Amino acid sequence: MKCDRGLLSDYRDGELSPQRKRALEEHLGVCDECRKTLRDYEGIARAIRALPRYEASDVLAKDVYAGIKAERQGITSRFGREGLPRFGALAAVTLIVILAAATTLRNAPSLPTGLQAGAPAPIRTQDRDVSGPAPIQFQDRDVSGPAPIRTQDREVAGQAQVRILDRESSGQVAQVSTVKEPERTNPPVVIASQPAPVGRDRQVAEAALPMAVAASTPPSHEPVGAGPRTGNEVVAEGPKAIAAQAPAAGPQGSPIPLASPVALNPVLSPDKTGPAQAVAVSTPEPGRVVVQVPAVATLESTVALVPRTLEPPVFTPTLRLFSIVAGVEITTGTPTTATMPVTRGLVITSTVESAR
Amino acid sequence: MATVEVRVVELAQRGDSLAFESIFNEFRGPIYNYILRIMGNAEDAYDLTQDTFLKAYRALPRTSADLHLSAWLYRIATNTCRDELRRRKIIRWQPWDTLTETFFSKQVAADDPEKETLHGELKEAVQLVLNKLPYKYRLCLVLREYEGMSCEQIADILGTSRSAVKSLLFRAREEFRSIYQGLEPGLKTVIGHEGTAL
Repeated sequence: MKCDRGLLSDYRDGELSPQRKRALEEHLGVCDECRKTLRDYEGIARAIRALPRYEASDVLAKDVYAGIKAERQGITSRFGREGLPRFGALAAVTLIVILAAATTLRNAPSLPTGLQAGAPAPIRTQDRDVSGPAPIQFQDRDVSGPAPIRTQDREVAGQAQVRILDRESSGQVAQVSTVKEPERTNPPVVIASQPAPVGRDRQVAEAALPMAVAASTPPSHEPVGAGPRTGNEVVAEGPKAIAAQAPAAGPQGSPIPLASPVALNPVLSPDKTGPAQAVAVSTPEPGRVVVQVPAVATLESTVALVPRTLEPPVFTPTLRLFSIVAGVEITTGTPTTATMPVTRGLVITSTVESAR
Repeated sequence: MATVEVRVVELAQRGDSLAFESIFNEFRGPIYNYILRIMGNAEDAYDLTQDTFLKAYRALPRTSADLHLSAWLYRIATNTCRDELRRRKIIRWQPWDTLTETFFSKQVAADDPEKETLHGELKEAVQLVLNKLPYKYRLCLVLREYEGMSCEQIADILGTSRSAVKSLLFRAREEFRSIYQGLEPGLKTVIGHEGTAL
């Protein structure tokens, strides 16, 4: 065999056939020059392998999250270290606005949406009153991270419900049920201030705000999640119980369309068919929000409701206080976030982990 | 690919932010270090790691169900580095003065007992030689020796054939050796002292 440094390189990479490898090794036994070359190649490998490895800092992580948040909000400028202060400030302002809104609205006689608010009610968690805005809970650290909601069953057919349970107290905070309606010709993509769409097999997600019935809630108010259930009931585990008092609405049981459109968080369906769907919400009674979702809904969906005046949460939202799981299938479109003008300073969003 | 990884990728493809965060946390270190070795400095590594993950976030919903996540992320990182270097028009150019001055200005005597200093300078020299390599050579060597990937994996990332990768690796080693030996006598003294390379 003649000296062939290309073969030595292949040998180093384990790319030679057993036959050629054997022949080369025999050659190496008699060729000093090739042995030296091979040692050089191995030395290069050692030298490169010995280069230090570093941890990617949490600052980098925050910058990436900020960049993705900007992406989802349509800010296209390059993000980087120079962008961090801007986004950091934005996040801080958002948080302040949220907390201020929570405080202000709690004492406000009426809501800016024109809906009649009830008497100021304490913000409550499932098991206790709190004097200020509900505490912010994160999944595992202070930065962010959604508390996953894990459904235990997968199928929703006919009459079905989804209950979201408070992680700590196991109290229900929301439910999804199927509502039969007489007729429908178009998918119920609903714009605010219009009557709720009607449709056969339309699914309605009902979320109760607060989880603990607040002071303005009539005594006759049905306990949250205590509606009719079926064998298809899906139990979900939600974020820590956080709630604010929803405003008083009109006559009980009469859904009042909200004054702004509500869009679903984008969750692509497995089969990726059909357009993205919007939903409408209404407040049939104090402390309850009804989310109307299309018939194409599945449990693979997330409904995110955010006070209209606030920054919508995007990737790893800062606030993740309450969730409504609805069987809504969003199939296309850019990620968007629902907006809702009725909650008091609470950002409502979460991620549903479920499968059919 | 592990079932869990498949599931995470699937969720991330549907826009699940938690799943994407999980992917980011798993790969941010490897991608950062990879870019660091390709670009040769921490500032670029920082910025381009961000760019890489932002691009990944944008592109994930359009990827197929059988996405090979790791190779895909490395490919994005590779292309991000390439684009940046093209933008600067320095893919094949590194000032030789930078290489020699950086190394020799800090060189210690051959009998200097400060091994840490020697270690640091050796590593610095290795990175400088990498920086001096043509871009494709650098990619191949880093992916092969630093990341420990096979020729097939490298071919997947670079979008080329396995035989092309083998050829690139051979030429990269030859070029590396040539540049490295060009640093004599100072570098050779240090390396000889350490006995770690060449």
